[in-house]
Amino acid sequence: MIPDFGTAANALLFLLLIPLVLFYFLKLKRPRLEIPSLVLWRQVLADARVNAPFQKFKRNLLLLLQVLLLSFTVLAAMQPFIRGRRGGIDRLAVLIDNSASMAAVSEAGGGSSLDAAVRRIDALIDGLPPGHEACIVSFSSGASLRCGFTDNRRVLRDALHSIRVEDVPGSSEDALRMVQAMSRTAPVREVVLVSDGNFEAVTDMELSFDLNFQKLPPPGPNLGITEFNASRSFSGGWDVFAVVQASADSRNAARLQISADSDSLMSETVFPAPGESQRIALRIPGEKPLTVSAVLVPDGFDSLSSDNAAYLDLPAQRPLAVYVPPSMTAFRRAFRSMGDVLLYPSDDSPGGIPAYDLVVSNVPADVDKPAACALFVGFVPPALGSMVAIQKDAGTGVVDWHKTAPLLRHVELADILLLDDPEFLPGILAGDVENAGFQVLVHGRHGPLLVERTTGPGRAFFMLFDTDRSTLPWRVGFPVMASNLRLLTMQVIGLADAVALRTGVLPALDSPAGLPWHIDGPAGYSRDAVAGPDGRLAGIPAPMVGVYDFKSADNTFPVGAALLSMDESSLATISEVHFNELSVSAGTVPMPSPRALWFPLGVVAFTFLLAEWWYFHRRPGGSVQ
Amino acid sequence: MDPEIIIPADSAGRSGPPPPAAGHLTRLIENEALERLRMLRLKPTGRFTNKSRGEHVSGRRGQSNDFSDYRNYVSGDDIRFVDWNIFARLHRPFLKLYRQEEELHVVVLIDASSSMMFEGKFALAQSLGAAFGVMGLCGMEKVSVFAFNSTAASPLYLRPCRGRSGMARLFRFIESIESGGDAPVDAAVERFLKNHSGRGVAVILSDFLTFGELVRPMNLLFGAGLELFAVQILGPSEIDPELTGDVRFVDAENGRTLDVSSSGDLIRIYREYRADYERRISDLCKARGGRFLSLASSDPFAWIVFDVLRRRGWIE
Repeated sequence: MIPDFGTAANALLFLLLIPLVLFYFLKLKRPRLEIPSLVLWRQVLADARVNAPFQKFKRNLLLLLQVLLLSFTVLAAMQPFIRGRRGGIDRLAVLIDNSASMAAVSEAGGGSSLDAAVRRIDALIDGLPPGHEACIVSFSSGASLRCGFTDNRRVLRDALHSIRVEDVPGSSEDALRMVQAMSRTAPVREVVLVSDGNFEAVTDMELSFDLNFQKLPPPGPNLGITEFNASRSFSGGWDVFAVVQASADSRNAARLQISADSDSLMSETVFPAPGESQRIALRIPGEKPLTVSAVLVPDGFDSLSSDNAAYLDLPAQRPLAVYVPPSMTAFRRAFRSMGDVLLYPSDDSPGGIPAYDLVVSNVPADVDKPAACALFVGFVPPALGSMVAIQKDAGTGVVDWHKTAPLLRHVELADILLLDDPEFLPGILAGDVENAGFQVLVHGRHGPLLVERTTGPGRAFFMLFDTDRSTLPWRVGFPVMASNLRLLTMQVIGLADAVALRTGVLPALDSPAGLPWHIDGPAGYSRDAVAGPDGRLAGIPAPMVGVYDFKSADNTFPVGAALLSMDESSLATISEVHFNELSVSAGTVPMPSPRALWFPLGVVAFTFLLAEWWYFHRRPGGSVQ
Repeated sequence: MDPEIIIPADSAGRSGPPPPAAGHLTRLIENEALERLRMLRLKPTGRFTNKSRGEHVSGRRGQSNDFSDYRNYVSGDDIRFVDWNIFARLHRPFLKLYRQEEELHVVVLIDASSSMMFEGKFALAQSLGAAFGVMGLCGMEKVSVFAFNSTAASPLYLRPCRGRSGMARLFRFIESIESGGDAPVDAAVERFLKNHSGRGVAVILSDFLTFGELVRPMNLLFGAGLELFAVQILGPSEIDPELTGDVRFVDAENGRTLDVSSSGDLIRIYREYRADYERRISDLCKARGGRFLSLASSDPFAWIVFDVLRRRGWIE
């Protein structure tokens, strides 16, 4: 194996051999010893030279030691190293997985997978040849550049050891794309990806570098909560569901404890089969808002602890406040037949209430009524006034509609007749409507019949025809659509179902615009944020599982975030990453790192120095007389 | 003296044996050893004798008392040598023949070059030279001594002397030899033979450490009718050297230098080469009817003369 040299230019130091040899022969002073005759010795030396090819050097052992000392010193100064594999790695990108599964341990009290990855990369940094650069990118749900390309090992190590596990699912795509973007400015020949293999197996990208996938040994068995949600029960309460997932090698049982505001609701033993999941359900009343938490207590060793808790906020159940003007008798009749709906204006409240959950109106001025959800009928929204015009009494029909849209689920619109015919103004296409912030849900013969506003607060739908001038109210689909609208509204305001929050980035929270907040979280998490001008506090990261306390001047409330990832809890790993044109197999053996040789060479040179010192200071001369 | 040249302590100040103690004939040999030497004789294997009459029995017929053979009487033979007892029994005259006693020339060549100045090598060479001379003189042989030290200076030469009366001359000459010089043994032998006549025994006392070839002087000695008694004297450190570190050897005779660094194999190769060198000299001597003996300068004189030389049949 031929070594490479980090600083080959130092080979010029070999020129020092010339003055060394010259000075040696100029300065060498052997002790003189008079003997009777050289007859025997001359022949002996001749024979000895024949027998020993290096006898000439033996004659000048001191010179030989000095030459070897200088040679090994120069070689050490050239910083030789043996590459760990073929080809050079001038710029090495190191990707390290710090997703939730990397916190898994193989035994109680043992090191985590992240610790093993750090050790492996530490060795890689130690063997980094001089002048060669490396960068470190960590990835969990996203990617983070920990350290740009540098040959400073201390900087690399500091960046490496600052990486902590984030309790979020892992995905390598962002990290690979980041390195690919970095390689556009300076070529990256090889990328080392160190992970437990718990990330997506297929990545939709083309590699522009060699990927070395270093797979870590699998951790121990694990049980974890992967789903925790609730849906409105028919009785007006909540049906809470929890799913416990077992890893492929799990043989343990666990106790799932569900409690609400420190009151235990359930404690049940779960014993999912290896690689399978077990679903637990319970019903709880919905009269008041509840914060429900689920804690999994494994009976035996559990390699990952971050997936053993989940939090669910359940609002109090209440009727929907729906505004429908008295003139829209068909809609009022449809909503009146539904339960848990308060229809306005009513006899008790002829003037209505300040805010509604749902507004259904054919009055353009009602567009400004505050509501979580709205459906406007018979007019074109102001934003589309320059694109669509309604031709009265032109007559039209439905050409196509989005059958999967929540509003139109199970709604048949094929045979309805419409007197109003909305049509695109000349030069306007459907794409222009979308660019204006609307999605066309129902297409007519000459223009859109139903659009959904995709921008702004809440959800708003616009029917560009008058339902009373169509056959829609007499179709079965009409009450179905009204029911869909009610359900959609309940979902928007959170009364239909609730899902436990996942780690990563917390959903936007309603807040007075410009209100400062301070958030304290698990593991010393602390952060300040200010609500935006739209009245929403958004973009709050939640990297760890636990409860985050939101505090403002006059309000405090907790928000729990949990891992809830079947991929992470199952600890399922991949052995091959598939890209568009190739697949990369994982290597389980640690990557051979370049081996620096300057230290052993320095030791050899020091040994020669000691030998020369001994040789020079020993008793001079011989005893031949 | 160059301060960096290391001279062994026992070779720096003297070039021969210590002065004789009171009552001793010579400082070279103790009186007791001298008495024992008078009883010993050289025992050459060859018959390199001179025609002149001596006390050494030769292979030829002569006038000694040692019976050799019988032959028929022929007219003109001296009737004094007829064996009358045989004539009385056989009634035929037979002439009784006797061995010829001839003179043996004992030449002692002493290496006095600088290489012999180490570790008492020259002192032992002086003592052995005196011993061989004493044995020759006591055997009524003709004894001469040739000492060589420097190629530039004339060699020292003791002209042949006979009988016990020559013992004092012999001792004085050997005691007066000054050591130090660059004369190699091969060149010295050739130089000696130019002025030498007579057959006999040539005793060479040297370390035989020469860059020259020893074959030619051996051949010349053999051709001159001299049986070779080669005695190699080496110092203990030449036989078993110890070497540490880098050192520059300086040849004591010619000042040449050689840089040597210690290594594990070097001493082993030296020992092997020295043993091989001794074997080669021994083979050269034996091939020419001579004898070879390697000694350490630390070997006791009495042990060498009265034990080693007698057991090896050099003397009797």
